[in-house]
Amino acid sequence: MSQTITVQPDYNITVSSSDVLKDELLRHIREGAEHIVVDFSQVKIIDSTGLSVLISTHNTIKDKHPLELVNVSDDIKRLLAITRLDKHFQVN
Amino acid sequence: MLMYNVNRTENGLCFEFSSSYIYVDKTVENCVSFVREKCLDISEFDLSVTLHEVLSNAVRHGNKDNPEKKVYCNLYWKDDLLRIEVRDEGKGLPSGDSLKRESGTLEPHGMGMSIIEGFDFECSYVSEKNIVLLKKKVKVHPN
Repeated sequence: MSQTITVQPDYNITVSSSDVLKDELLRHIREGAEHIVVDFSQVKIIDSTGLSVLISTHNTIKDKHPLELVNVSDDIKRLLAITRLDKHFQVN
Repeated sequence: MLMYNVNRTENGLCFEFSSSYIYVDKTVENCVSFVREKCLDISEFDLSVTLHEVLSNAVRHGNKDNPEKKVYCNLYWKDDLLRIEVRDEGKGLPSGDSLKRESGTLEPHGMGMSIIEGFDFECSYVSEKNIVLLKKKVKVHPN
């Protein structure tokens, strides 16, 4: 049975903080998570380093389930569209 | 020793700081406060992400995370034009290298410049001065 994990960062995901998210996501993958949901309700800004963390995570688990992003602001949705990552992640 | 200096000029802000991501965050906050104070009609999100990209790039790829090397940033607004200049103490880009990368692929690198251009900043690299120059037409917010 697929294990779903929700991660809710309470910080902006930029180069100074992205390692925190990376470590948390890697830990869940090591523990067997196959469906990862990242809740963006408290994230106002994400930069390319943060997006890279999401891409690496997605590439690791995508055969089981694409990375899912929820509660994404309109600004971050626009950023995902600019980078065309909205075609790969499941964005809600 | 780590240092962070910011000077206010008539039309903008000048920063000089040691290569540290904490100072990148601080510089972004100061620049956002400046455009808010001037009531400039620019998305704070776009400006914040753009500054994070170009300043982090200077720290990581320019100065190789060496805290003894400095990043210099000027942000100024005049005649409805917002200009951001960022210089580091690295070796600069090899002649002919492009700042632009492809977006849309699932490679976890090389998105920064695509994001900046996606936000309608005009981006150029002055190789002889090792300066990344960003320009965007920005007026005062009508309200």
